[in-house]
Amino acid sequence: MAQHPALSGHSHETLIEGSGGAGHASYRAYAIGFVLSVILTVAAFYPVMVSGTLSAGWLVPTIVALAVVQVVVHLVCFLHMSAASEQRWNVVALGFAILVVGILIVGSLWIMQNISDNMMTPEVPALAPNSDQPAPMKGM
Amino acid sequence: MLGRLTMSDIPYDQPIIMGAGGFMALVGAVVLGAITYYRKWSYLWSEWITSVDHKRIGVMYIIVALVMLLRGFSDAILMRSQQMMAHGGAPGFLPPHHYDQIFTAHGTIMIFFMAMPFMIGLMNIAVPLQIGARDVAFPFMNSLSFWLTAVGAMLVNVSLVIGEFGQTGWLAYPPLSELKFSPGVGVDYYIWSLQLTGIGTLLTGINFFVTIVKMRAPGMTWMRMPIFTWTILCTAILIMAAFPILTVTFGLLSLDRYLGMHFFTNELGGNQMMYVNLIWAWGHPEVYILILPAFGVFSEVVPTFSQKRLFGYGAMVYATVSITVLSFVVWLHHFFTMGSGANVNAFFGITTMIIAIPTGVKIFNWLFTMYRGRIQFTAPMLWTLGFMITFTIGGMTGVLLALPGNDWVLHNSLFLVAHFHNVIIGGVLFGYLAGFAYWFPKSFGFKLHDGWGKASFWFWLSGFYVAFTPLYVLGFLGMTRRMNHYDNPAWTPYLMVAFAGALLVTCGISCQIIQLYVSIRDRHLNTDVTGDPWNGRTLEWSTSSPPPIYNFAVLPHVDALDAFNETKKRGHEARETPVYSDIHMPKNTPAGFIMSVFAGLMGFALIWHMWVFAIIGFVGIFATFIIRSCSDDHDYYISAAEVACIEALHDSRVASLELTHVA
Repeated sequence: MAQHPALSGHSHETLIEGSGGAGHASYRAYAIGFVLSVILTVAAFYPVMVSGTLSAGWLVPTIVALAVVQVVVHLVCFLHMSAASEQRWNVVALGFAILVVGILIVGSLWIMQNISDNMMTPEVPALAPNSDQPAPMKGM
Repeated sequence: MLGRLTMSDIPYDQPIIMGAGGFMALVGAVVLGAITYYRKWSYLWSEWITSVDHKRIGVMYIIVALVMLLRGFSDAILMRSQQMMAHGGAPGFLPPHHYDQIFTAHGTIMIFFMAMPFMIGLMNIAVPLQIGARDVAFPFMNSLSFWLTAVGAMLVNVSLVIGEFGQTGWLAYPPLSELKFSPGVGVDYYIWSLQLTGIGTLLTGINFFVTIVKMRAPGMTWMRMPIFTWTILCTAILIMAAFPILTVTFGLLSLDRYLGMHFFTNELGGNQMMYVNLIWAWGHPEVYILILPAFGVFSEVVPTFSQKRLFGYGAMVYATVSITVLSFVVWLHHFFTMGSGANVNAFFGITTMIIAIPTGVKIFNWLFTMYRGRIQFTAPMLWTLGFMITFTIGGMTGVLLALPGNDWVLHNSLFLVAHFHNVIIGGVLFGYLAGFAYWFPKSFGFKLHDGWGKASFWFWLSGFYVAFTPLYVLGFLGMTRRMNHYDNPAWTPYLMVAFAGALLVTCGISCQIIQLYVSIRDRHLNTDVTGDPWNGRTLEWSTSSPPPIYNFAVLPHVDALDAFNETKKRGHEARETPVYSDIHMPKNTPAGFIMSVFAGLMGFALIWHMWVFAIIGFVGIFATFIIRSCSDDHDYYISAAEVACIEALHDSRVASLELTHVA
């Protein structure tokens, strides 16, 4: 269809008049984001699939840390978040999202930990607080 | 090719199911036949199915909601009659396998396919008009949202005749919903119908958030927004934050069922309590997703019919926002009895009592709005008054349940069932029905018959109390929910009273159907000529009824709260000759409908393990989406001359109608 002179200012897909919100996309940002994402994903899978890379105690914190970095990479490279002032709405939205996700994760951990403490009796010696206890005999 | 589906999956031996299926097929055939006979297919396709107009989409949402209300209510009648009959030696008429599907379908339908579409329909009809916008921010996405919801509703209804529905209760707790204990297709129907509609709802949440943030009329600052728009903004935020949790939780359950994983199973490290935790982390915000828009409707209805401005606008806004945040820290009160211990239960008991405070603030705001107002007792106002009393009682029984000690006694009893029906019928449904009557003339250009509306209200209100007060008593007597059969003869009289209440509600629903029939038949007598039948205060009443496709010929400028009321106070002499300019509008598109049909095919195929069709559906969704994305032909302009022509046509129609009314 013929381009209307007034059309150049706004997007085809939305009805929002005027600009603002997300910053401009560049192929460079997408390329960097893609490469970083691949590296971070491989880095998370590698210690899980190749045993002996990391001790069990370090494995989970490492994966969690890599996931958080991955989230930041996505936000910056794909969703074009920055600290610029015209992005106030994005920052507010991000703050709210962090609040909700924080409530969900912290709350779930707290609830599930308490349920585990109150409802679960240790069955396997490795899970018992005192590892000096004798292992249960077979057939009991 | 056909996976698990065989002819034996159609329950020929169940007369009730076959009767219901036959009836639905008959109604469907009559409707399709009528469309063909009156040659309306191309009209239906070009004006409704492919429409991206928020007003049309809103109407379609509400049609889905009303149809599903009938379906969910039939389930309710079946349950009430079964429980009335099945005591002692009598088995009743519903075998457990069928009865369990009925209570699961009743809850699922009423929340996901009645209340949610009703609410989204009202927000589609009212919000863009209230903020002086020409459509929503993403009109195509709006159409996609609707059709995904409609397809989800279709899947639930198909499960009646082909296969079975879940027998797990409306939230499908594992381990019961795991493959080991529910090997049939019931839970799969549940999962896929809710996944489709859940994604539709999430898209709606994004759409309305952006619409309200970015598309308000010039001059409409945050504190000049109508309260209904405020509640929808908060609802959209809740949807965006909560629905992903639902999608992920069902996703994990599907991995358990389809790929043999162990997130929620009994063995191999699965933990079914995590499912309960996650589903209620969605489920509690969902409660407020349903009730906040109802609060918004009441906040429009009360000032309009009291002919006063709303008392405490600021308090109302802050109460709404604080409910939005608090609704994320109360979810454990749905499972106090799971055993988290005293500290956790005390924390969530206290937050639950705190969230009652902003709700109480709202009740007082509405009461003070009515105080010394000139109240007109129309049907929407009656629904509001009924709400205020009923919802307050429901809120108080909720605070009783918020005490963990009480909850340990009353958990999963009929007291709980009575409580949540008290707030959902008395709050959510009454609110949506008030909004339905309030905005109906805006959508169609004529008012609903007020007498039948009032009759319906009184039947619903009395029916509600007769049906659910006995359930409170039964809860204290120790009757648990979802019982197919019981041995205690002391319960039977209460269940008979409850059944009588359900019959009263049946009368209420019948009055609504008659009301629609009478109103459409007499539409020429109830015509809304001015576009402002109630002497309204907000911008949606400043345009004609039904509004033109572009909503406002000239975008309004807002300089106060209750913008339209201010304009009317200043008088019509201030109105200048309008200067029209070209209007930028979205084009209709079948893409949302086609994608949803493919999504429905994919869902049905996944339920029955027809992998070939599942792949076809999946590819179809993405192919349609990519084709749509590659096209630039999404919008068009209505020229200023055309706008002037449409407006002049409207003015002459109004003039002629006014003449006939005078004559």
